[in-house]
Amino acid sequence: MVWIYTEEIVNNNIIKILILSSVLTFGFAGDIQGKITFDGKAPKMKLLRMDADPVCVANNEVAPRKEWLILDENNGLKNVLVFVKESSTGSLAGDFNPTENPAVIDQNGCMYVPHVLGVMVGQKLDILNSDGTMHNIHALPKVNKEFNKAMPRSKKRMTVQFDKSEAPFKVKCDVHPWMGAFIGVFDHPYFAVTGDDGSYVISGLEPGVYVIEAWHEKLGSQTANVTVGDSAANFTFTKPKKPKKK
Amino acid sequence: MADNQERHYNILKLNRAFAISSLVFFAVWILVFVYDFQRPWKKYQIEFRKLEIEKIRQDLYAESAALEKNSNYNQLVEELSAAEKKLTVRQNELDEIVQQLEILDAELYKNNQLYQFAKADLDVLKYEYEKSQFGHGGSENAGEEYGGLNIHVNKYYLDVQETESRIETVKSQERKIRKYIDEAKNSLTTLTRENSLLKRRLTKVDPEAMSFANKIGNIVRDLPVIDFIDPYYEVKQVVVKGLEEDLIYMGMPKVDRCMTCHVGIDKAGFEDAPQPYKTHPKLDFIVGPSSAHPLSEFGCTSCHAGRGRGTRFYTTAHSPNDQETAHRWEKELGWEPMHYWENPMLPKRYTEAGCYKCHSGNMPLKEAETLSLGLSVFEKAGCYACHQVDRWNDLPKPGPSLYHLASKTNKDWTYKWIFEPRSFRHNTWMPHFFKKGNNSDPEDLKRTEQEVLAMTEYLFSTATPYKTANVDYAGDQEKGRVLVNSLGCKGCHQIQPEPDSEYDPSVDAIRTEQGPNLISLGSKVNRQWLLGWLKNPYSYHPDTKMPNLRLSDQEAADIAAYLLADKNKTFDQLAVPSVNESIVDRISADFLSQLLRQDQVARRLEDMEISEKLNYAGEKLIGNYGCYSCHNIAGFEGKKPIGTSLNVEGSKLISKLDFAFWHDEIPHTKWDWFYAKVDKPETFDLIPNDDGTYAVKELPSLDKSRMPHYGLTDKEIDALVTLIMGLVKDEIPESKLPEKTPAYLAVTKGERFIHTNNCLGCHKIDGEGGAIWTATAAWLGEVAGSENSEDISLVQSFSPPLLNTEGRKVQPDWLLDWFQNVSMIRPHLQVRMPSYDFTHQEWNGVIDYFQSKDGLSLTYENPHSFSQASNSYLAGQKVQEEGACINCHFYGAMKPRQDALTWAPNLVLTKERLRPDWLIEWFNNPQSVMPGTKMPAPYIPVDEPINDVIEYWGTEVATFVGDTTAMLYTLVDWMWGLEGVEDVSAIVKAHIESQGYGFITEDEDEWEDEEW
Repeated sequence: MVWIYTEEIVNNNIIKILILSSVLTFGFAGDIQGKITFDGKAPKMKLLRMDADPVCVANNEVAPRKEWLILDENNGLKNVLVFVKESSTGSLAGDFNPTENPAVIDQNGCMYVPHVLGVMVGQKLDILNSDGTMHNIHALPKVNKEFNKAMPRSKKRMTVQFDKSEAPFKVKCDVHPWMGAFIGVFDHPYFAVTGDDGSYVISGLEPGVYVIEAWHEKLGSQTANVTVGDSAANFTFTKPKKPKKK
Repeated sequence: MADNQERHYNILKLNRAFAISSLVFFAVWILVFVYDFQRPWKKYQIEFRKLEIEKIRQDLYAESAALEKNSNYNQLVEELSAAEKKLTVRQNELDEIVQQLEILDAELYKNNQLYQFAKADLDVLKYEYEKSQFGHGGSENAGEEYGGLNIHVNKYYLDVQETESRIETVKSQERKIRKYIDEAKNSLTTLTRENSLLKRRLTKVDPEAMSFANKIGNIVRDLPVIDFIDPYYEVKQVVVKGLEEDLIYMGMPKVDRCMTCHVGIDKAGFEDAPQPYKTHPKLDFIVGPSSAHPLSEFGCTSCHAGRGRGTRFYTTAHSPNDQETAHRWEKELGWEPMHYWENPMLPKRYTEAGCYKCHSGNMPLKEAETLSLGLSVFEKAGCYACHQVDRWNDLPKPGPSLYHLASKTNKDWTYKWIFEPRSFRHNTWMPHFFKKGNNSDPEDLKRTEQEVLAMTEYLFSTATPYKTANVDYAGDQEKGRVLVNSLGCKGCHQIQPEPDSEYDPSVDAIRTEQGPNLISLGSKVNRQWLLGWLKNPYSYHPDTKMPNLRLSDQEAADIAAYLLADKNKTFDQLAVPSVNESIVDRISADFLSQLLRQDQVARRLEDMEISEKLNYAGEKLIGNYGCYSCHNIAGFEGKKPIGTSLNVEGSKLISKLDFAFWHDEIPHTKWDWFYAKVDKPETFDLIPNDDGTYAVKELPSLDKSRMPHYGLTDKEIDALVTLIMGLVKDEIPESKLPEKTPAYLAVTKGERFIHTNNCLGCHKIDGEGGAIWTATAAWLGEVAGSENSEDISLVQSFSPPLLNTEGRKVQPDWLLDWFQNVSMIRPHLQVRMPSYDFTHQEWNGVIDYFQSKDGLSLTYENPHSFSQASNSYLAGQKVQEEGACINCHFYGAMKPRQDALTWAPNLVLTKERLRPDWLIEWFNNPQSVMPGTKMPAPYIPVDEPINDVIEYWGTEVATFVGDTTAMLYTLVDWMWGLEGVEDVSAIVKAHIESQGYGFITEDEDEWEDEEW
């Protein structure tokens, strides 16, 4: 492309550069990303006995196992809920309207998919029943209102929402006691759950330093101060201390 | 003659003196006004006014800012101004309309007139015409005329109607515009109501917000001399109707002026203000105008005590809560205790004492934690056994019966126990009579040892045998341990070998101390006794609070094996002194000499064998120490308790409390005296030294203070003092008391019964109780791992059920029957509802409590009727099938599909047990009835398209689409039709023995690493 340097174009470009530089100085929404790994020898997840409900057995091609510690070959830890706990010098102010898209949790093969989930205050959460058996979804929050709803096999979708932010709490099925999932409710959109390889991305943050918490259902939680745009905010979990026996 | 002008005094001098004295008089007069004008409370009101102005300004600012931000508000303002503009534009239009209306009205009148006249003419013609028709003469052409006129009349009629409709149109136009404006104005007023309210309040207190005239008035009204008319700053007071101050020989109406300085006490928003401006901390409950105890009706000193008429810090009889405050008050406010007022204000820590005079019926008292703890401790420690308080008149003795003591334990243990109970059980409620401050010197110890030996001798020689069935099972300790942890023993008992350094006494904590801490029983009781007791406690002691757990012989043997395995070696090794006859003689002589001469005493003693002497002394000592007040002891039936009655102890004059040598050490208040007395009952037998030690008064043994030492914590003593300060003789008129409706009486009576029998050790009612939950969690941890014991919903499901809404829930006749013949309801529970030997009146009291609490009265109800051919029944069948109730519930002998962990009651029982109306409430939202329950709300297709419902759920269910209640009633109908086995206990037992609960456990070997 050939540029014809008329005064106008030069001026335009100058303005563009000015705008760009000011944006760069004052803030461009950025990301925090990283990878969660597990350090140590991982236990093998136990097989779940589902024979109490034949439908559950039939809906699983592979024999289902417990899900509380899932690693990939590089020790990337799945199902860690990573979220901005508070801002150190960054900005978390402002009302965040919940996204229009509903979050989804499915009861599939008598397991919750996903196993760990973050939603926003006021965001719709679609609860699906792909199993064609009777489930009951029993949420056990401490801040939000407890609910326990039956979902017979014909009921394929149910929608709920949470009114207050709350640390991850358990959701369970009283009919199938092995079923458990965890839901964290946030009043901002800056949270993510690690994928199969243990990585996560929290995007759209104003520049600054934030306190990031990585929460795992069994391995506890860790926090770190992270600057937006830093190379990577990685966390490493290890086997928790042996609980004291009475 | 004497000179008239001659005076014996000098007029000039006199005038001068007069002038000076009148000046002085005037100055004094001015000073009196100044002094009167500067009353100390005024500065508080002036200061508070500043605070109030600032507060309202802030609120107003915030409110206005919020309004400005409120998009709704801005929109409304715009709309309103637009509408008003429209109205001005339309005003002409409207005027025109009004004019039109006038014209139309006139036109209407005219047309109406014409119409009426025409109608009259027509009638005449009609008559003429009809007459001509029948040949009675009349006009020839009447017919024609009539026809013509008729058309005319119809036309007028139409004209009238048209005019009317035109008027209606115009009027409706006008109405529309006005309505629009009104609506806009209304919604704006709603939004700005708070704002204008604040503004109005501000114009009352803030001179800056006042009109000019008010500003002047504001200054003038508080000027000296004229400030009697309508001052802003004034003594504020509440006359409490019906209550009187007791001035010993007379009563005076209660008048409280506290709010003269505590200006903010009834105003929300001053919670963080300094005293005396603070808002009352429980405004919604007390003081607030819409609360149960509004300031205008109850005043302040009716609860807090103090001298309500006072308007100075000293004259109101304030009481500091601690020494530090006292010193500060002395320095800053010139405070000193006001000795001339018998009822000084209760210090903050004892404030709840004020609740008792009106609410002595409840247990616990809402919002009165300390007082409730006091009631709980008073009852648990058995204070009522020695000190009569009417509330506890009907209770049995607090300690165990000693009628058959010899069958339960041995003499050595008994001696050591009486001498020092806490050396055996660190947290026992049995108090220490010995080794106290007034009986611990070597001589005293020697004597008291012999006293205890004598009492032991008496108890054993009078004991009658306790016959038990011979149970000859070998017990299994380990099984016994599991049983103790799971059957429910721990709702009332602890097993706590060492003192808990973090023990925090509370009503709930004391619930787990209903029965003794079950440690070291191997050092105490014999096996045969324990087996008999476990199998049926009432057979040993008919008045015991320990219920019957319907243990099998094997279970009893297992539990006994477990409990007896624990021994206290240190205690076992304690030595028991041998009998010292000379001391026993002295003890006996002390008692004998109360009746006999010295020589007679000596002779009597010579005639007595040593065992006789021991028995004699033992009996006298038991009477002297009052052991029989708490325990059933042979020979003491019907004896009056030994302590002073405490019924009106809080009203006792302080002059009746003997501070002995402790005037300088113990502050001169009733509560400090009571504290010292409860904390260390022998205090007043002692003489304090300057270095903190003390000497003991010279007293004959029988004159020493006998009140024993309970080893209570400060918190418990404070709670007891709160209660004692609440035991007053104030006469309260009925109008101030809670209304004694039958429901109120049933609820309060039930609350006390439930407390005394510790129902809340196991059950939770409306969030209160459930002391056993920690034990359930421990048991779960043991059988299913820490993961499950931390799951509070699981802990709840394995604990005794919540009793929320119990009155609405169950059929009363079923409940009475069940109480008397307990059977299995929740098949997964290990914990067992015990069998109590309450009379049916007592059970009825419990049922009445549940029903009254839930707003029901004891009435007969028609049985629920249904038909198995009805749509409702058939629909119910489909709803239960889809809801898969069988997953967790038994259908008669049909086992639930899921593991025992999820099990729930047999639905065959429902029709006899539950009330249909409650079932609907329950189905609608189980979590709101029983928070945390595992029961899900059954799914019913009320909101789904009818065709989908017909296709999937069938036509019967479809009949009920749109009506939630009717749809839920289908389940009731279905359950009422369910027949089958009621008692599934055998099936349950077999299943759990063979397959367990199916807990999802985390096994130790899940981490391959062995350390885990």
